[in-house]
Amino acid sequence: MIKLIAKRFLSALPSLIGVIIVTFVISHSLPGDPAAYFAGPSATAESIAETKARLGLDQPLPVQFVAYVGDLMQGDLGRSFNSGQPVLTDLIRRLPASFELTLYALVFAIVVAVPLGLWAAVNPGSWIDHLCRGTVTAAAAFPSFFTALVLIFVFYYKLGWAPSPIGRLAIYFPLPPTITGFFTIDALIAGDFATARAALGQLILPAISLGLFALAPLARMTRASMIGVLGSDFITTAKAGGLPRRTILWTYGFRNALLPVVNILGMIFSFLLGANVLIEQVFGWPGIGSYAVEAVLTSDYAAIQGFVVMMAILYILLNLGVDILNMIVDPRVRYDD
Amino acid sequence: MTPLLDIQNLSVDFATRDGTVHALENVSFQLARGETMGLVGESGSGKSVSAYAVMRLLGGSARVRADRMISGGVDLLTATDAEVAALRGKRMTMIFQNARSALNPIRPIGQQIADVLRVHRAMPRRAAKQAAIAALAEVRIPDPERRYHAYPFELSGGMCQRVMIALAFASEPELLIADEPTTGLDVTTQAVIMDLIREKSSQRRMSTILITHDLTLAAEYCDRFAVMHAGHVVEQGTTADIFERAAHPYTGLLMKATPHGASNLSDLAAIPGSLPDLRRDLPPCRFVHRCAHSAPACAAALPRVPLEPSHEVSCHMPWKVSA
Repeated sequence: MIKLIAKRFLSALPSLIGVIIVTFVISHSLPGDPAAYFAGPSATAESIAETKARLGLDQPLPVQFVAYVGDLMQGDLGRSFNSGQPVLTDLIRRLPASFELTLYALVFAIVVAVPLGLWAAVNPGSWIDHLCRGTVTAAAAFPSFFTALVLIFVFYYKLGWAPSPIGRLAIYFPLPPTITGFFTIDALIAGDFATARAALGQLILPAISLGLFALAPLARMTRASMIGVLGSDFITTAKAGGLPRRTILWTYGFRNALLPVVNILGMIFSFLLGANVLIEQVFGWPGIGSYAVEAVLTSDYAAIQGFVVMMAILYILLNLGVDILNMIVDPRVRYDD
Repeated sequence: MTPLLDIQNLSVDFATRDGTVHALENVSFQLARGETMGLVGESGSGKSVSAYAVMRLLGGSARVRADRMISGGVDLLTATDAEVAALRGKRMTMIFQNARSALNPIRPIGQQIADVLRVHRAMPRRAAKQAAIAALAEVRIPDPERRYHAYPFELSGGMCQRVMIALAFASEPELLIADEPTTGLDVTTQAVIMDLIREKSSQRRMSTILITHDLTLAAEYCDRFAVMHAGHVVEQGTTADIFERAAHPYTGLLMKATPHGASNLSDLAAIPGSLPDLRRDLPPCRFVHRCAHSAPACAAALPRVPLEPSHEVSCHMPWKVSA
């Protein structure tokens, strides 16, 4: 099992190298001169050139690339022009915000989509099946930033149920001491229930907007998978053996139907990290998504590269996690080479 | 003595996108306790549909009608789903052709047997485990304690079929339907599996329906036969009736298409034509277009001709079996 994990990890290295090269090339061919931006609005041609030399931007691209990779090996993602901080520090500070949001969105999507898909599969053609199809179509049809705006309009502006969409926590709440970086969990650990509630309140709308995006593929996959499993031979055997309906549906049906769902979870999680970029903009969420948007708008090379490289690493780790989860739930995978 | 299974004029239609498939029409047979009946015929003749209808395992698209359908004193036509579910396993059970796909791929085989035991014999978890290991040993699976934790993909096809048999017998049913239990296994394994089924069922005085297209194999194990063609039972009788005094032309052709010990390939004859399209309106005798002996009389309603107490044929021209 350890060997298998190590092998999966090694096989991901070439794609990582590819990502580093491609992001470097693309971000350096973006229009806009970061030196001019960095030198400020009152810069003269000389001060821009001076900034360029200081940042190493006057060197030929291959030289810049070698220097970049060298830094990367030491965990140095460069320094952001915007914040003046090392990119790694920025990302590590902002990552928990994005993670917390994505995780809540994923939990919301799973909690809604999996029972919906199962229920629809067990009663095909019933009203719940139509509800499932309708929800899936609607959730897939609206772009997540649009859903987000509608939710804000209805629940914040019209009904006033939701807090103002300006980040993770309203300013009059104390920041919980950082343990996991998740405000809701940290506040609970600190015993500060008011802050935990406030942080959760801030999370609900963005998590639902983001989660709706993941709902469609999850519900559809669950439904299709459960229908497929319920039609398979071993379910007929279980029926012929007189097992109770509950055992047939759960122990025999659901567990088998879950296998492909687990498989796409990794993909959906990384989709969500990508979709974060827009949702974080809409909700003023201080995560890595809004950081990336800012970086692109200001040609902040180091920040863009850092963001993409980190996403690639996250993606690889997520898929590794899914592979391990798969090995736990599906005995057949443990023996595959 | 009342038969264990009594089926009279069972008809099954399937509603499909391309029209109604008349899968079974007026199928009748009886099965006594302890008896083994072979259900034979080419693929698509309705053998499995009959079995699934008896188990009430046909899906929602099936329309089942019958004059009588009684298993172990329970009327399968009027029983509720819950009542039939209670019969399954306990009263009647089924073994399938592809044992590996018929077992849950991600559940240890021993646990699958224990699941059945816990339901039907109301065993607690630990006792069910011990009984499942004993059941594995009974079908002569080596090292049953270790195999208890094995998954189907870790076992050979023959071993999986043994597990299926252990699973089927775990609940001690009165009726076993074996749907092509040895297809896909090599010849020696076939004999081992069939001996195992015979041994277990005679120990418990169980009735068995053996669905197969392997007549040579079936002749060794069955007391009686029902021959099916295109959703009809065309002939039924004792093994001797069928093999020595076949009265239906189709039975005769089926015999000639079956290899015997001393026959050459050139002695084998293919049955002309193919099964009629069951979606269309069918003539009373569904074999008429393939039959060398068809006569104008064959257009009349299909009779059921008793030849002997044990032997019955559905044909206007019995005994015309080409020699």
